Amino acid sequence: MDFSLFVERFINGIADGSIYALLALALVVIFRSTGQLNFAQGEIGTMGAFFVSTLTLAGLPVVVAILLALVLGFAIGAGIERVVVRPIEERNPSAVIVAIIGVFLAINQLTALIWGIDARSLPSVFPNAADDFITVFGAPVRIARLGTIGVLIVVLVLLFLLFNKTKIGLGMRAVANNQESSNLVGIRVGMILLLGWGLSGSIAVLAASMLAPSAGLTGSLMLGPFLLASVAAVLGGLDSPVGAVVGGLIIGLVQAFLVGYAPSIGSVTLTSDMLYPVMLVILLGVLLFRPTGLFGSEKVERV
Amino acid sequence: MALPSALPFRVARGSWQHWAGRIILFGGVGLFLLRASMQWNRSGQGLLTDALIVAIAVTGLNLITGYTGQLSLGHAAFFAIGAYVSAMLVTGKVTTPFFEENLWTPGWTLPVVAVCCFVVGAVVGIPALRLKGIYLALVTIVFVEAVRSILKYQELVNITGGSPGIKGLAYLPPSWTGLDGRADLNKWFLYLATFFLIVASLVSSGLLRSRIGRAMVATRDNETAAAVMGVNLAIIKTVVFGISAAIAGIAGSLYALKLTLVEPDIPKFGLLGSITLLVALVVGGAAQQWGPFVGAMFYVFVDDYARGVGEDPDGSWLIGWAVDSGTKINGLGGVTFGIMLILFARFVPFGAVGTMRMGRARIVQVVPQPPTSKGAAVADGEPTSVMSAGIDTLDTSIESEPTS
Amino acid sequence: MVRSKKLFALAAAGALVLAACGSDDDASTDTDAPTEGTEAPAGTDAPAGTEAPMDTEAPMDTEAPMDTEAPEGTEAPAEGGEAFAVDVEACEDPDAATAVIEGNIKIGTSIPLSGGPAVLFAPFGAGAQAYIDYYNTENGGVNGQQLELIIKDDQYTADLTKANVDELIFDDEVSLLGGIIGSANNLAVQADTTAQCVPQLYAATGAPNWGDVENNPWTSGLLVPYAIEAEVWAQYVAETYGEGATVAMFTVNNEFGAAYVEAFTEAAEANGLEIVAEESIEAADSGAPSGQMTNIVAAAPDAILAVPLGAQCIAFMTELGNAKAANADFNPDTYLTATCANPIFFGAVANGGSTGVYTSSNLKDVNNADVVASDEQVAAYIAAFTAAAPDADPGGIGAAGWLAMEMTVQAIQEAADAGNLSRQGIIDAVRNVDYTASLLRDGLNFKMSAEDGYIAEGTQLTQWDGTGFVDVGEVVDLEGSLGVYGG
Repeated sequence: MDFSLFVERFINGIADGSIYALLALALVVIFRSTGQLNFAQGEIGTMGAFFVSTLTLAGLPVVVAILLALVLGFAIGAGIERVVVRPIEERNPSAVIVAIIGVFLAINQLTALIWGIDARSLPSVFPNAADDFITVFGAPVRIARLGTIGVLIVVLVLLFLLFNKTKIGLGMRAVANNQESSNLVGIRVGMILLLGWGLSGSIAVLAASMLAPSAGLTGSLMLGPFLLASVAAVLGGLDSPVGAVVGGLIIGLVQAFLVGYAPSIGSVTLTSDMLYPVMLVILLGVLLFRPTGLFGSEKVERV
Repeated sequence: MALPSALPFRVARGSWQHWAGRIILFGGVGLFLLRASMQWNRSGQGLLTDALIVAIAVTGLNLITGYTGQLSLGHAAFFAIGAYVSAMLVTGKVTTPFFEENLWTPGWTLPVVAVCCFVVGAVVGIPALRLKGIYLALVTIVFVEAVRSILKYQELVNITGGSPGIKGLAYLPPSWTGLDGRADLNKWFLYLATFFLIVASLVSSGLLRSRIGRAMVATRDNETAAAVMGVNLAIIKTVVFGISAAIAGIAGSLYALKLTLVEPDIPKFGLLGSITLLVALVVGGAAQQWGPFVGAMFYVFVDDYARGVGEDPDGSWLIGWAVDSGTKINGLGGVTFGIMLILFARFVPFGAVGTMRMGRARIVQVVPQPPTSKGAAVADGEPTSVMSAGIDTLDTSIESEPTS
Repeated sequence: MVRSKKLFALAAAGALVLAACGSDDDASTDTDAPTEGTEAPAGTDAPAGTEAPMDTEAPMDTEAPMDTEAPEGTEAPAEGGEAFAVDVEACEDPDAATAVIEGNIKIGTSIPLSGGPAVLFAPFGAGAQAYIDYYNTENGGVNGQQLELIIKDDQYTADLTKANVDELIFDDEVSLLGGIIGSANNLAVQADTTAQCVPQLYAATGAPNWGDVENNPWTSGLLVPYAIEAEVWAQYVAETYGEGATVAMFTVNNEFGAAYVEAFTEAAEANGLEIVAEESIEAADSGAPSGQMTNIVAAAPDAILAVPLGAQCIAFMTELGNAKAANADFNPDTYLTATCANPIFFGAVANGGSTGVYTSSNLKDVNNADVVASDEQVAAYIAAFTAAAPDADPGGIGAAGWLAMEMTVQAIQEAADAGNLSRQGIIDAVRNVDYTASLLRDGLNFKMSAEDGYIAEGTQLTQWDGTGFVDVGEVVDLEGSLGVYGG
């Protein structure tokens, strides 16, 4: 087996996986505090990426544009929590899923309504010309891909610090554990939930801004990655940030190796076309032994 | 029965007042469908049929998600499998002994569809023994996409038709119906869909009145408690999943026969299809007998209206005042429908039927008849009070344990 | 069975290329293409099978089909051998098919205006509406009868298309349908429109059924069948690299991609090419196809045929640029299908990966300022389209909408001029069309007959030079080569 090809596929898989991992992190942040799966996550990201595009076309440096878009992502996420999710959750939590699907449809189409339907290119924060690569073990590795991996690491570290070293993070963990008790001990649960949704909106925008330069920016940018990110989050455990990252990287690698090596089982050749059947097997294999994912915490149910 | 002295009126289950109410309800819906089949033109009948087909599939979903509490986003796969089984049999893609050149009459494929989907559904139900809430939902989503990949798989192209699928299906009304061939095609499918919706509803309500029904509701409300009380969770989950899938498969089969083709990339065979069914279920009212019918009507007709707003923005009263004549707005139909869903969830949180029942319960309550009733009330999904009408079946949280 | 298996190459029309206006004179030379076309580099090797149909239709040019037939009475199918005349006896309501259309002429269509990725097709409606408004203004309608276009939104979902078409026919009472987008979408209503004898014109799909004159006379396609594109590219590669040249395929894993694979596999065989890699990508996969590109590099092909969809066009060319930079000896001639032939896609590739990439289009390059300045018809299109959809790119799918309605209206006008403005008269005009559309490239013509079920069978190979598309060689006209479906 050609080692440099392996290295190339491995790093590309990790880089793609980083995008899924970022999105999965955003899902986990919300799930921990509210138990909801935010179907609109990817669309917040797409909208943020279009906003980045508008700002860069207006002449802003791309880093500044992304920072501003993170603020927009935060606002959208927090807005959804405050305006849509909270009032409905108070009355019937099961109706929230319908509202979130409504938000998903509305944001997806609102992007087309505001920015039109023509594809755009988004500049990368990292050097991204054709020859911006380094050679590792004979394999060309693009700097922008390494940059994406770097962004994932930074976000993970920041989240770790936030959750474990700040009062807000303590509040978030408390709310994730038990909302009612948190309320009783004086934690401002509403504010914590708002922060969680906002934060995940920002992370989604970051993921989209990393993906768009190589993928091209259209309204359907995040539809596919969102689905894979959801799978990643479940694989790793919906309440575990580490699990989200591990799950995302696993999916990225599986995808890359299916494309690269197209393994055969009997007469069946598993190409990238068979990603979902393969994922189904992996997912079932993991979940049947650990029903809450690789790193998810299991809660005891009592009568 | 004594006259009630004040609101709410109390009506005993099975009393003549209760039956009168039911007859008015069923009669009203029956008259509506009859009128539609007699007087509506083909386009109205077609759209109504689309809604009834969705209603059949949602009736299936309601059994497993509404009454048994297992959140499934996998029913689009059963819908697709049902569609494909019919398509493959009708076009002779698989070898069978029963029909000349393997070309099945479309109607005879439906029992096969039901059996195939039951088996697949029961198998999909196995993970539900271990997985809960969102975890199960996500696994079923991956199942939907996996089925799509397999339908496209090159090696199976002789059976499934691969990416282009199978075209040229036709199900014309048989002569004994007295319908006039192609001209009455939409009416024929309207009758078919109505018939199968009634069958599905009868299966569903029969199941709910049986021991299985009580076990389903017990499973939903508290699995551990149900198991302690002797409910065999494995059997309940797999069997109900199977029945639920079989009903969704029948709907898929009707869908394909009406559409005249199947293709793996048809949106209703993917995640969008599952979302359609789930939204229709929640909008109509989960764990409500009439929920699927009302939810499907809402979904299909409101979506039709929302797209109409996008087609002709200045002609709609909704936003016509705000836009210039001839304005075209990309995606407006989708934005409109999305906002309608949000508003619906906000103001009708228990679904149309659930919320109506709560409203009705303030005026009329159905109570079990004291002497002989065997407590079928709960299994029937009839809330006996305002509180139980809000039984929450879609609690997606895994941390729903009551603090003891 | 015809090999062109195609589908909605919606953007096939999005493809544009340049040139001045076509004229009817060119049209007459088209039929001689097999002999005269010898100078056209790519045209010379039209497969042997292509000639027969062309010869038989040679006489067509000499007659104006509509003139020869009296409005009523001549329906006897194909008496003359070449002129097509539809048989209305099989219609649900034959009288409705022959009834003269009075008052406003209502045309219906069903396209995606919303719904996830499908919203990308929305400008098709703007282009279609722009043409109808333009024609009403310029010509006062068809002999005084105003045209009316009713656009319904189907979100690219076939069951909604079916519902929309029912509404259009039975509620809005349109006289005909035109320009419905999508393969499954059009096929889902084909049986209905055929039975009801409602013309379903110029479907934005290349499925082979549109050439089925015998069984589905009431429906017709619009786009260049993929078999034609595949043949043009295979010929180019064979000429450039000789017999045994190697080609890698990169295709989206759906009906659209599968159709191209089938068409190109056949064309490659006919031209002696060897396919050395077949990579695919899921339609919803918006990631960079880096793994697929790695495999293609490893196969070291002389040329690539790429069939991505939407933004994947950008992602693929970006990866191509990266791969070329990282592998000094990797420099294959690369063809992207006409669905990508949009300056928006090519221009969005930031790393230069699109430069030198080939594509094709049978339409003029409406994004080229020189073309707009020198061609009144293109200028008229640009003016009308930008008024209708100021934010959309006129070189995108909008041009296909314009084209679909131009051809639809042409048929209506011809039927009216022949004194038979009925559904029957319109479909006869369509099936015998011989017309040079305003956006069609010089040297190409739209033509159908009883023996030729496909309207667009010629295209121009082009190459992106970093700022725009430039022609490569001459227009390749394979008019008539596909015959009829199943024929």
